[in-house]
Amino acid sequence: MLSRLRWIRWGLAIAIGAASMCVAFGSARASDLTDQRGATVAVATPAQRVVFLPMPAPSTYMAIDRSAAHVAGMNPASATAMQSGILGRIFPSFESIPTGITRGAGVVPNVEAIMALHPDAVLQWATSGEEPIAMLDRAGLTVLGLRYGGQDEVEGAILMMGKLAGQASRAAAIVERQQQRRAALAAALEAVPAADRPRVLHLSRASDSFAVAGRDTYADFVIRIAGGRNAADEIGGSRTVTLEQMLVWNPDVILLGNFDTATPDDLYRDPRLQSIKAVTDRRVYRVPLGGYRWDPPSHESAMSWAWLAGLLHPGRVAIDLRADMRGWYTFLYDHALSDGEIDDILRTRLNGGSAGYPRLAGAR
Amino acid sequence: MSTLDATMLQQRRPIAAPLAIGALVLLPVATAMLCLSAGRYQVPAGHVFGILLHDVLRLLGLDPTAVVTATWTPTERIVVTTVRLPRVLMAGFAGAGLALSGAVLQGMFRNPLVGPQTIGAASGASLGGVVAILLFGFGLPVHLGAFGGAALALAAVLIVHRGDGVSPVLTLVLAGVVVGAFCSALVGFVTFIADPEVRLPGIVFWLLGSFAAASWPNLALLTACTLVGGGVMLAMRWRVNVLSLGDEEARSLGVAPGRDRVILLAATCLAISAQVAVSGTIGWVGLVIPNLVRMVVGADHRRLLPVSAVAGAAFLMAADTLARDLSAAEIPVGIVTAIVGTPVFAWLLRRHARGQAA
Repeated sequence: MLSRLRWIRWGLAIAIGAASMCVAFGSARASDLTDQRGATVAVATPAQRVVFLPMPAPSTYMAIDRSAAHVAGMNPASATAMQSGILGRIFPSFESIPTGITRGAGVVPNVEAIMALHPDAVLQWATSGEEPIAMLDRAGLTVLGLRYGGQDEVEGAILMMGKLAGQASRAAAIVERQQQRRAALAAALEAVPAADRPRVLHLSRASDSFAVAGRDTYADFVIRIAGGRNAADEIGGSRTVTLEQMLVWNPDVILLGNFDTATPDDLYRDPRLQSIKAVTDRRVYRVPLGGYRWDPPSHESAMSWAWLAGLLHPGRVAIDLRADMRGWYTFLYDHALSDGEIDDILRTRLNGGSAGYPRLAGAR
Repeated sequence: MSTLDATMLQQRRPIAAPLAIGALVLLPVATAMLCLSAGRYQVPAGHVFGILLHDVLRLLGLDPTAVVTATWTPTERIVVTTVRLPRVLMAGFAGAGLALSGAVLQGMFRNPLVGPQTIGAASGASLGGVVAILLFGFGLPVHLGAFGGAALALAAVLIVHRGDGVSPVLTLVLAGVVVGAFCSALVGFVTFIADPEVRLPGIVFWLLGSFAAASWPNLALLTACTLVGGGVMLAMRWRVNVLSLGDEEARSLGVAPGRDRVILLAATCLAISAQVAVSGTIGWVGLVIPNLVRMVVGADHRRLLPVSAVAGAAFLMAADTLARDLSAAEIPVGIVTAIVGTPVFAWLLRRHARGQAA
């Protein structure tokens, strides 16, 4: 009697185990992804619930996925950027995505809060030191490391997110369109002699102090793609410099980044800057803000290259920026941009008084 | 504290007054001229002098062309009068205010380890400033925030202090340390919650201390506050002497120690918060300079205070010149003063310990 009961119990256990394995294999495919720290990670794809700690990543993922439905959690700073930019209007459901996943502001994860979201995968910077990523690993979460430093890394990140979303071919198409734009600009600007390449200074901060992007920054890459020379290329990385150093560099063009509040008018009015060529020629421009800020790399970068090339070489790069942006936004988000939206993205109001801007932005 | 003994007050003989006053004026002026001639943008020293002379004469309503011919470029003129001059003067006034406040606090509390950070005013001003940056960004709110923060911190210190009639000096310093630590913790909290992409870099840079935002309006604000606060402190220099003897002696000499301390604290608070508002936290100047000066001129505050002010001005002008000229990058001046100040202070402590052992 006792032995028969035991047999029945064993039989039941085996049957339940087999059934649950069938369910597991049926719902999703397990894929091995190589992340950007070089680790091979097994993830169920297409991922249904993804948590994002790096600020720009969820907007890229939503473009690849053409939906906000699979973003299970994101950095509060990402939500702020969506709120102030156009992405919030394209994906209004972003407001219901949980943001309480960090400790304070930054990318230090609140591990328990992330575990409570039951994510299929957590994306975290592979560039912010060991601990922010190791904390998630130790908790047994599926972690994918991300790098956004240079163009190659962004392309890698887009392709990785494409695989995660089960949208590998769409991600490849985004990367390919960026590469085509890069090649087209290179061809158009190849023959420009060094003397005709304006010296451009990218200021990531200009309101309280002056922080410039030197060599090995993404801004440096964009300036070169657009046919300019980086006025601060004697400096490596991003640095705060003295005002006098800016007078020494005397750039032809100044770009104001989106991580700061300074506007072209602030610089035009500053008595200390009145001898800088970019100020006297009124060639100070605030970088646009689209689905994400256009100064760091993103899936929208190709538009930012065209924007800058159009400002630096209006004669050589004949581009209808409005039409180009409409094409990209339809492709990326399936969204038809209105004229008002384009003006918001291009910051036409802030930049309207700067040389060449009404022509570039195609004044209506 | 042996250096502040009453007998020490008479130890040094007064230097011939005109000579001393001449030296007092000459030191900061000479330092300022040197600092004005140094910078990343090359301006010949002759041009610097010419531009200054030209602008001073014009300011006085005289015709400068009769005395100097303008051989300089317009850019050189912007560099000297719009970029360097307000910055050098700001460093000078900030240094004077900090050193003066430090000397007054050290005398009042009879302790050479006291500085602007000790009474909570600097930390309170930092807290008010970072909250303002967090909520509104840079500009006027930072000034108001720093003033408000320093005043609130001082009020908190005084409220805690009022309860103790037994050892007022000790509780005052203790209350200052506690309020300062509380403010520092809240500053930490603000940096913790600040948007890391937009607000945090500015807050961190401001907290490290820098004159990068030097401009004529900022200078006007700092100058006004330093002159008022410093004027009160200098006018009360002999009362600081009396306070430095202890409350018993002060009372027997007819001075109300409690009231005088509050007035002096308010004056230091004004000077310190103005400095923090325009240039962030700058440590060491208020602590080290008065100690160095005391070794040279003695503990008589009638001499110690003006000399500290002048030495503080010269020191911070020189430190800021290093901060802006050592490399293309803008080094926070708080780092320069700390690198210079720490070994000096360590040496002072050792010397003091040896003096006591002997």
